[in-house]
Amino acid sequence: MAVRPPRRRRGEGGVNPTGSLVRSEGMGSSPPLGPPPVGVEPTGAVTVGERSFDDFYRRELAGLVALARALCPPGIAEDIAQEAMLVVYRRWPEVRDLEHPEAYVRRVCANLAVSQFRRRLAEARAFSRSRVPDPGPEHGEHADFWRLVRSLPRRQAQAVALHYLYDLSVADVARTLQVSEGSVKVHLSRARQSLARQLGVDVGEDP
Amino acid sequence: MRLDELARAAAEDLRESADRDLDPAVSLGRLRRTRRRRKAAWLTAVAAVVVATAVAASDALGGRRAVLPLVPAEPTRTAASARTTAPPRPDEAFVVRSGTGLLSWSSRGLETLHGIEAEVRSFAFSPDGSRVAYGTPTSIVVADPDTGRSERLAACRTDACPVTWTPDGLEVLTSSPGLLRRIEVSTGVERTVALPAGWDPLSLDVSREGLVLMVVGGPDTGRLATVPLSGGMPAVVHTLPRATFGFDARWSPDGRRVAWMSKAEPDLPSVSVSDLVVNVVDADGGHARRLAVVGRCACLGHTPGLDWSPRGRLAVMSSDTRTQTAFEVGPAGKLTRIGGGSGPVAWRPATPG
Repeated sequence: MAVRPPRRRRGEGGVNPTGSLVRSEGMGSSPPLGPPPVGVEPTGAVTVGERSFDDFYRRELAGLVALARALCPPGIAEDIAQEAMLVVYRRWPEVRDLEHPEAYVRRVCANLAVSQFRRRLAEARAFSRSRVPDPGPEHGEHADFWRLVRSLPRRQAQAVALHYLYDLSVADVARTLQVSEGSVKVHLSRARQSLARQLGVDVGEDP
Repeated sequence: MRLDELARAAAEDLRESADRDLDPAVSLGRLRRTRRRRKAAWLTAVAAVVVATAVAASDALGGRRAVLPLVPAEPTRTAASARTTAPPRPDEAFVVRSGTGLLSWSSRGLETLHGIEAEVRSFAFSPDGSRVAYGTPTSIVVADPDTGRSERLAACRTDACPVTWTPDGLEVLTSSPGLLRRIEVSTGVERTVALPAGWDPLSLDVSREGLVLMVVGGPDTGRLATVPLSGGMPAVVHTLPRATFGFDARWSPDGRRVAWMSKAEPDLPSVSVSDLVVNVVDADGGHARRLAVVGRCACLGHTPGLDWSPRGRLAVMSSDTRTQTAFEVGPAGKLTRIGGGSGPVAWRPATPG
């Protein structure tokens, strides 16, 4: 599953060529895009006027780990999130100029989390770092909900996780996953019906 | 309670637990160390290929002094710079993946095959050995390894992207979930053969009689199965033991046995590195046995491969956290080292006649 950053640059043509991931409300829980922060680049150089990877990492990591925990079994979520961040780290000069680098890293993470080969890779790495304690089975009153999400077809699971974890609209989920809005609507609707049926709750209205 | 309320509460719970469990500063340091380590590993691998190529070139020149290439050995060249006439190949050659190319070991020494310039997930030679089909994360490509000419045949629709040839050498076979895809090499025309629901083959091989062998299912439902190339009733040859991950099943040249690789796959989250095992079973499903253990499989990003040569030699790639070694497996399971590389392997048939 090749995941490449789109070759679109901030400010090109004065219009967001991605079809805009920018909403007035921002992308879910992401902070609004303000002036680029001052930070330290992966090379160690301090940059002014450009987005810093360190800031990006600190801002996005917890959300990515939550996304990975929603989509893959416990114990490897942190590795999946870290893998997604590694992809961004390697390509930071390109990624930082994207309109919304956070959408890119979320897509990478969501795709890695449902890819069985990369899951295996993460498993092996998790073992090689055996000093990390075994996280054991999932706890929490909502563990069953996420277990059911993970049992959904992968696109449905991705749509549900992005929609609820980041509070993204259907349009934003579609842009994050780079699929059509109609497709996201179908996936979300089917996923919600399936979850409601299994949980025995009222499905409510589609978003 | 409505689903939305429940889902939002679950999301809030997950976000809070992630916030609580993480120390971004520690994670960031780990990320930088991982990046440095991978860079170093990549450079080491490139250097190893350069040295191996130089040594092989030295042998091929009959003792003349080899000149170390200034740049890493490129597995591909342009068609114009590559040879235009293929020399005869009296012996079958053992071919492995190396970086983004393929290396061939034979009586002619070590050679880099032309026309391959991608991350190869699987590859197979045509029955006459003149062409190689390979699957990348996105495409299936057919290349002439002697001239370097290559052509994209179709898109790949699975992670594993398994490829094999039909016995007549006219079609390349691959899969997508629930389907076998037969693609005519000369025209690109595709036909499909339906598979049972949930079958997503991890590897493919076709016997001379046209029976397609595949590994399907996960750790608890793994099976070796066959389906006629022309469609028809699928059959299960062997059911893998519980918690076993099977991959790369191949027919023996006479079609009487099947070899495959396996790795124990403990229930998550107790993940472990486990023995990488070469197994054999008769084609009728009887007499399943372990032939050899070829190392401890961490399988970092490349699933090791196995292949049976047209003359009945069984080669297998081992894989652990430090080394990748190719072995020939003798009848009693005796292992003889025959090369290095990573991931899938294949035998290139000798020139017919």
